[in-house]
Amino acid sequence: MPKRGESTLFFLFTVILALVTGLILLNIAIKIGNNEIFEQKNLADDAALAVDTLISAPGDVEYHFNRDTSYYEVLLEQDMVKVTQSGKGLIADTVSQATEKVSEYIPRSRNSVPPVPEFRSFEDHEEHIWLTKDGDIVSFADCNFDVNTFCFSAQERIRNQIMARLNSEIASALRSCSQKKEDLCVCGTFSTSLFAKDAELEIKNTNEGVDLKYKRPEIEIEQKLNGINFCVYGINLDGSVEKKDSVYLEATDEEELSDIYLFATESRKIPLLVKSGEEVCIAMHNDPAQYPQDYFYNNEILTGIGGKELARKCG
Amino acid sequence: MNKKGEESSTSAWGTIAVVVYLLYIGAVAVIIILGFMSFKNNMVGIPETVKIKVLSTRFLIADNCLAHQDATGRVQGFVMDWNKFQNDDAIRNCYSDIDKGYSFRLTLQKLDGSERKVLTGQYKNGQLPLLKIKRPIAIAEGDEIVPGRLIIDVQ
Repeated sequence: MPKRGESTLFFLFTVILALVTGLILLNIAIKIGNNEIFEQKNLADDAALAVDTLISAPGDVEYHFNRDTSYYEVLLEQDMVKVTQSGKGLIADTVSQATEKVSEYIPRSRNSVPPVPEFRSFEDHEEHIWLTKDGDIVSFADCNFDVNTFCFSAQERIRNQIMARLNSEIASALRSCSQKKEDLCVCGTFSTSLFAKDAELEIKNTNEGVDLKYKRPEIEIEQKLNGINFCVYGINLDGSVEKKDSVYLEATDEEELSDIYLFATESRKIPLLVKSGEEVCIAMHNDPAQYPQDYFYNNEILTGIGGKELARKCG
Repeated sequence: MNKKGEESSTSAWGTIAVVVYLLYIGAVAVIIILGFMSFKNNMVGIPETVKIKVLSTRFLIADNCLAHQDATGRVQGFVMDWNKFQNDDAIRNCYSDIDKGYSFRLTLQKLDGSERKVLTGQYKNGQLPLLKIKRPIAIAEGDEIVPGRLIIDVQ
């Protein structure tokens, strides 16, 4: 017969065991409910397929996982990828082991000759990881080990993308215009897609060239284009022109760019760049009451009110 | 009047019935959950044909496998090296013979009817393939490149 106190101890042990088991089951149920288990499985499959692909590829290759993997521990082993949830402690460890997902791939060889891939498993890695193949060696990499174009924070990445678009969509149009020889002609257009909500671009003429200052919440980018003279080519109702040396371009509620900078073509409204003397100018119609439809760019001729010809396309 | 122990016996049977019922409900719940998980795992998984195509690409373009490498060491993708089909050494150096995944038999045919076959470790000749892929391909034999056909049997 159990001594007094033994049964109490047994009862307490049972309660603690039940609680721990309950918590583990609850955690697993939550992971199933949140689809985390399936995401783990998908990540493991994705990584294993990527390893198979890299082994198949000739030459040296880098493959970037375009997904956030920081929530998981991704372990690359000799012939499998294991994905578990990051976590410390008895319950987290047990849940992690119970929900571990494994996906297999086929290594080149199970023997040491010829060289087998050398794999590194790592924990607590950064948000984005990628696989590299160097000769026959396939391994994981992250920014602690390597530096490449993926080693940027999300904000830096957006900043770089915007900078590249600013260059390819606007700066290149200004540069191209500055090469034209005519005194007065329509020398190009540019994309208005950078003018999203809360974004603005200041274009300013300086002694050295043109300053581009792009602003968006939490992002500010400046770019200098040396050797280019900039102006705003403001067309009045009577066809006369007023020039300014800086402009703020921003989106409106309805359009990517305010109507005063847009000119109608047969299919859509576009901004125009005008070469005027030595200056590259953005064209605008000065009277805000006028519609872009009054200023028509068709058959390579820009016409104003009453069909008056204002400029032709540069040669 | 009940005999001694009869009343407690009825109550014990009731308890057992409840336990059995709970076990039954639990088993059904587990089966449903496992079925659901298996279904969803399949939904998020990679289709078999995609895996097979990725693996078979290894034979077509990978370094040090079956594709022809020119004098500079550059791999000529989709140009099979006739000499590497003499025996299974080349294919087994780029596809391990571990007992899992898929196994392959590659048949390289020239237009004159001659052919060579190579197998990965676990391929069983007497067994029907799961999938058969046929594709036209170039064959390099020495300095000569001739048209041919590659048949990939997958088990």
